[in-house]
Amino acid sequence: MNLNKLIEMKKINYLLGLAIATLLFSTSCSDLLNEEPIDEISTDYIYSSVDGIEVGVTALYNKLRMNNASGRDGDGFRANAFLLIGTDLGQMRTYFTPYDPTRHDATLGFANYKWVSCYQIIDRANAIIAAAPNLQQTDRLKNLVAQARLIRGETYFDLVRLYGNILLDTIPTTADNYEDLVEYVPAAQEDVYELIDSDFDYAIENLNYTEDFGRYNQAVARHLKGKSAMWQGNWSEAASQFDAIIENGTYHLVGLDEVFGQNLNHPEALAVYPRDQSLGASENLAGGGDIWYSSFFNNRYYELNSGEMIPSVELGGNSLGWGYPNDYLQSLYDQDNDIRYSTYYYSTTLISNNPDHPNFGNEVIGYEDNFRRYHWSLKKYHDDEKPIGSNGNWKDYLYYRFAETLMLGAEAHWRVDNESPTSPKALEYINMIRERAFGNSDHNFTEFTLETYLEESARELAFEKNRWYLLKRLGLLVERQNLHYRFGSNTGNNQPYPMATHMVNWPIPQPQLDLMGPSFPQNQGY
Amino acid sequence: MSDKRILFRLVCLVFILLTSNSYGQDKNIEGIVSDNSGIPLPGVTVIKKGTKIGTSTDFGGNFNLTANTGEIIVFSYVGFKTKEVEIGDSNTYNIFLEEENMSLDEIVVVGYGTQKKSDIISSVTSVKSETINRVPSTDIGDMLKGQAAGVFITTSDAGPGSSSNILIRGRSSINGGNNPIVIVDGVPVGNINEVNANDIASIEILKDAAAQAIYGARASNGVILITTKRAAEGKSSVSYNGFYGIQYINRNFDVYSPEEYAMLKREAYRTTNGGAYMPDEDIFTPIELESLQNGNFIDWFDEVLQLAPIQNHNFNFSTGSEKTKVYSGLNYQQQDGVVPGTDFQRMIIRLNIDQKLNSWLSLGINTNWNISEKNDPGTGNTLERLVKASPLGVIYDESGELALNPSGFQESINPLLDLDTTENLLEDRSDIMNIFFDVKPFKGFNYRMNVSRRSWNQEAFEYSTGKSYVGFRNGGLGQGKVTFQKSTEWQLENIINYDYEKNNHNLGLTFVQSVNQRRFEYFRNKASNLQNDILGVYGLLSAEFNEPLISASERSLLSFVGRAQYDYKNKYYLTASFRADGSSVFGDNNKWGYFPAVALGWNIHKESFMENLDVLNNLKLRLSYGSVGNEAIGPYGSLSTASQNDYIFNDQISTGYIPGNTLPNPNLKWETSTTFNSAIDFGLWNNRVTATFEYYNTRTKDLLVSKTLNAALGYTSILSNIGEIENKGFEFAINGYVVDNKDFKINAGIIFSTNKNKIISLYGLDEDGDGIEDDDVGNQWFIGYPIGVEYNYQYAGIFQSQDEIDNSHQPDAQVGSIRLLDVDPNDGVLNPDDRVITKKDPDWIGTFNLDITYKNFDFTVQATTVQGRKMINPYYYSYNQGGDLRGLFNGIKQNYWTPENPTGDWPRPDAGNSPVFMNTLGLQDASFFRISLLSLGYTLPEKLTNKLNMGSVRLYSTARNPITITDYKSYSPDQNPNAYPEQVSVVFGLQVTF
Repeated sequence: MNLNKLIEMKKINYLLGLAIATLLFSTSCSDLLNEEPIDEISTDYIYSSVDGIEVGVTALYNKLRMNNASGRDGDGFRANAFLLIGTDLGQMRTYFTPYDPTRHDATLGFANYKWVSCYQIIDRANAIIAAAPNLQQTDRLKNLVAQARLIRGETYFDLVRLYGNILLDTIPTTADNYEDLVEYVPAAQEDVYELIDSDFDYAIENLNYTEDFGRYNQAVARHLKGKSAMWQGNWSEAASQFDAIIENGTYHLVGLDEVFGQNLNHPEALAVYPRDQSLGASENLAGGGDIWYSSFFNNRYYELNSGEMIPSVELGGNSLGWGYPNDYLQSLYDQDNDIRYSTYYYSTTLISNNPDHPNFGNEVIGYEDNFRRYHWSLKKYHDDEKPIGSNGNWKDYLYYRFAETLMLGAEAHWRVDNESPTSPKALEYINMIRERAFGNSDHNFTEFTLETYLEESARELAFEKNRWYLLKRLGLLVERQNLHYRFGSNTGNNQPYPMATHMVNWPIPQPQLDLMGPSFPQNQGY
Repeated sequence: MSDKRILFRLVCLVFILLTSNSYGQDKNIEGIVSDNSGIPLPGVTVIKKGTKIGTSTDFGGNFNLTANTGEIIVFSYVGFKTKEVEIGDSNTYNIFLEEENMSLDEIVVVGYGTQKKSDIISSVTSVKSETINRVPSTDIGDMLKGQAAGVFITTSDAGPGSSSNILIRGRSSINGGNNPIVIVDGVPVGNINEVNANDIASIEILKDAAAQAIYGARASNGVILITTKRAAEGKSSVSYNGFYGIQYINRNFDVYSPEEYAMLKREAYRTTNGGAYMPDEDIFTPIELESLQNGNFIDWFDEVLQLAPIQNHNFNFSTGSEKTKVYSGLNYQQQDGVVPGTDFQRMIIRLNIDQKLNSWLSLGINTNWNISEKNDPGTGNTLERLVKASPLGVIYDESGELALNPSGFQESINPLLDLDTTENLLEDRSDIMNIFFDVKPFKGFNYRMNVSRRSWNQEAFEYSTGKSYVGFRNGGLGQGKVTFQKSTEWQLENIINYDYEKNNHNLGLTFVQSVNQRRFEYFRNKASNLQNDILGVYGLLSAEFNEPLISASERSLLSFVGRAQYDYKNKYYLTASFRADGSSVFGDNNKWGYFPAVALGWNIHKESFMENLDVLNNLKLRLSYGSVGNEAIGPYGSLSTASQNDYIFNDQISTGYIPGNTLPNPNLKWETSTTFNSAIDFGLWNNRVTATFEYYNTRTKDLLVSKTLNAALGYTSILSNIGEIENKGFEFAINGYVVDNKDFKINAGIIFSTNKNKIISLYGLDEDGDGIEDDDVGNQWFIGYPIGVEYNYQYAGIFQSQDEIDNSHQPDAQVGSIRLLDVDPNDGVLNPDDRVITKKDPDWIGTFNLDITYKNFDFTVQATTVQGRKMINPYYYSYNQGGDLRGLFNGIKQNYWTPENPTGDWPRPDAGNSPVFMNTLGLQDASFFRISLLSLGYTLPEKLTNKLNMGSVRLYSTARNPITITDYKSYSPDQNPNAYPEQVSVVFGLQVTF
């Protein structure tokens, strides 16, 4: 063999060797197939340390904000808007038709949203609660677990009140147990309330009256425990919980203009869901997405044909005018003396703000009987910093407040006192509300009846999610909705829109029924 | 030896290699090489057999060579049969080469190798470069439409620079994606449009498992192999191919005229007003009223849509010596959009080099560099507003600026606004760098090391000024977004091929080992509330809010492949292959998937009993069976990860993480498709007529499916391997030279294919005990039906009277509202059982192609049709698309019901709310018949081009999609009216070869 050929052969051998080496190298390299996430954290982190639990609880609040005060148009928004407006105090013009017999059925999208969202929160809370016993029991851990349990209890409380029949599950779902055979049957109401109350009790024990602004605290826990007791007819327990909050003193009434003012970090606010455009303006980020309730309940004064009005931030800027407080609610106010009428609502008197219009600066002449353009509108969600052309804004959302504690406390004491019209505590509490509303005690009640209570509660708490649950608990929802709720776009076509009796319970969503199988019944009437 | 001297020798060597030429012999011979019809052929390789000595013909087909008597001269030319001539006494040799136009000996590229067409026994459809390049488009997917049986291509977004969706033999995956993998010269690419159509030598579509299995892991949606052009030995050429033309829109629907729109609005408000018309003042804005009074209306389609130019220019240079071959292609495309402000331009440069280093080692480099720039300022919204904007009003406000709400109505946004106030610039760059070494140590053996890196980068710059719609919403402040995306893919392959031939036994062996790694990175910064628009997107720093987002992912694939191809006398064929793939995205216990395939072939016409059948010159039977996989799920699908959900405590950000809606599944594994394929190929009258019938049945099991969970578990879905899907179909292609004279040729072809998609099994549960497996109603998956059906109530008319309502299963309905089909009239109620399943996939698709050449003229017409397809058109019912008859928006014109128009088949308009069950109206027939291509060309006479010293010159004009016949109301039956409209284009082009 000549030299060249030998060299060539060597080269070939070398190359072949290289190829084989690469082959072997790649084979041994099968850790190439092991996956390490780059931009996501492992769930193990959440459940294996107190720091992890803290991260998990923070995320629960994010989910809770979406569930209880969803920002913009969508099923979540619709679910909450329904609870705000679908009472004897509201009327709809457009957007959706609460209680529409052709739509309010098992396919109701927002009923499905709420069901899914609530159970997601419950499962994540379950996972946090279940992980805690394996960690070192510090006060901080207990405090965090108390928040998770309060959120879980609150969510179950919403579910049972909305749907009636629900599933009860405290075991966190994992890939190992999700296929475990379970017969899906509605939980007994006592079992549901037992869990709810035990969660609230744990929270009362382990939370302070004052926690970070944005977190739930002991007052929220007691407020909810009181509500739960009322749903179970345990009036003295309810009264004692509300009394505890009232007597503690951390929370009290504030000036009317402050209640829904720009800064909700005030002593009347038990729970607030913060939003802040500068802290990441999307739902999964801290700041949250924009929220539409301000525009929802406000008329489009700037569309008046006369051209006298242009959008202004003081009047709520751009708006939607989908739903409004109704005539019945308006009739409940002493419009001259009740300061709430001019604080919780925009003025029905408009002053022309279009400098190009000859009538500028004077009261508008061209009011129209067109609810899109002009109607008495709610100001509770008003935001002084709302962008003028926008439907949405980033104002914090006041969810539970001391005035509701007082109202419910008054009712609880009235019940404890065998519904005596002169129940002293009931009168004391309701008159605290009255005195603030009128600025003096001249309008205080001397008698407490169901009717005065319902009317005062309406005046104080309208469109705050109190009403729908209150009427349902009292068994008055259908009757009073049929009396006062309206649908229409002008006084001529503004008609009662009766709800069917079965609609006091939301339908179990059809997709969920399909998934749970025949053992779980649909609510009666659907 | 000093380094310098080595370098010098190397340079000399290279020089010699590049310039090697023939050296003198005894006798001078000459002649002309021409085709059968006597036309001289330039560039024919003329070479002495067994040597590398030779020359090539000049433009007149002349050659000149010195040779010895008795030597054999070989004449070869692409597209013609090679001819050998022995040198006798004569010095002049006029050679006629026979065309290979109907030959079965063309070379077809298969996975990791090539085969003669007559040896192919799997399902491979070849599409030639000329076929695709006659379509004036910037999208190769669009060019492939109707060219291959079993390949269904749709264009949902036809914006400048967009890509079509390619579906090969039906959907075999529910969640895993259905895009075929595209492999260019052995390198997988992200998008078929990364390469220049003009650089493509051929496209092979691998359709059955036997052909695909060698690409196992990523092949279950089919494989598209693209082979780019390379230079040929002893040939140099320069060519230009380009066109220029215009594009316009073919709108197949009407919106309400201004008067009709006004009437719609009056009717909608009348309904909410209890049946009494309301005064115009209460329902129209002052601007609309004025417009109604003075009759100044707006035709938005005229205002917005435009004629738009398109152009495409290609330059190719190729040169090859014995040792070095260089091909380079340069492409420039420019397209303006029919929607103003949209445009696209792209440049692609390719360089393919082959270098022989010595007798056993060669080196090749393929590079492809693609840069493009696209402007697309929010056309989705613009197109939607175009349909629904009120025709009443003014385009410009008093100050001469575009009016935000032309009708003064808050919901109605000016369709021109975004075009004027937003920008969205997309800059893409993709590179392919591919180097391979071939080692041939002994005959029949080839080892190739193939290394490649492919990358794609996109930089997107979006900005909306304070005057844009979102800017207005945001208090007159601008907002912008910068997005950088990058994906890279590395691949290293060791490929060994060994061919062995003895006593009519032919054996080919292939072994491949491959490592593939992909990484994706994403960065976006969203900024809002910019105080001024001076710097546009470059002013982000001064924005009040900046929100960055960063993410990345990585996945790897490790593979081993073996294949044996055996045949006896080119008569009986057997191929077996096996591939093992390990993928990082699957659960620990299921990383590896194994994909075997086997194929049998029989060239029946080579049997002795067929010899007497002169008519039948080709008859081949093919059978194959095998499996391929799909790993098309995102990274981390099998891991438990948490997603970010932050919150605010005490006005400070607090980080939150929690698992999302999808429950992780650590047991995820491969989705596997198993295909049986059978086919018969015919060739008649020396292949004047060729045909292929093909039948396939693909079963895909362990489907990667996002299974809906009972939400009470806290998760709404889990990705899991469930069930089975079947795709079966029939494909038929026939091609024939109806007339085949020297001056007059007619070639006609028909391609027909059907595919039936069916869910065979899902969760394997029968909870209702009816003996039939349960459907997944939540996901609209039904056993025995295709994926992607419509499951809804069915429209059955409009209620005409209260009587009719009282006797129906919808007692709460109103007169003038939609009556639904009562599937079970006995139950008397409307319940979920009244919903009906409707298939949407087409029954069949077909193409008819006709090519006529008469002397120097050539003419092509191509027609395509899709039959039995249905689509959902939201413009028929949805609020956001102006379809729900509320009078707030204009929309696609319908014949709606009013008390005075009881024959209306659309429900009564209602300003308060969308008519109930309106979405049942969205399901529409989207079948169509289309003349997809009309082309006329003229090739300049040889005499003239010779005088001009050119090879050939052809002028042509082509119309793309000039005629479409369909009932579907949109711009194209493939898309809804908010999608960028598919254009009709008419172009003029020029092809020159020097």
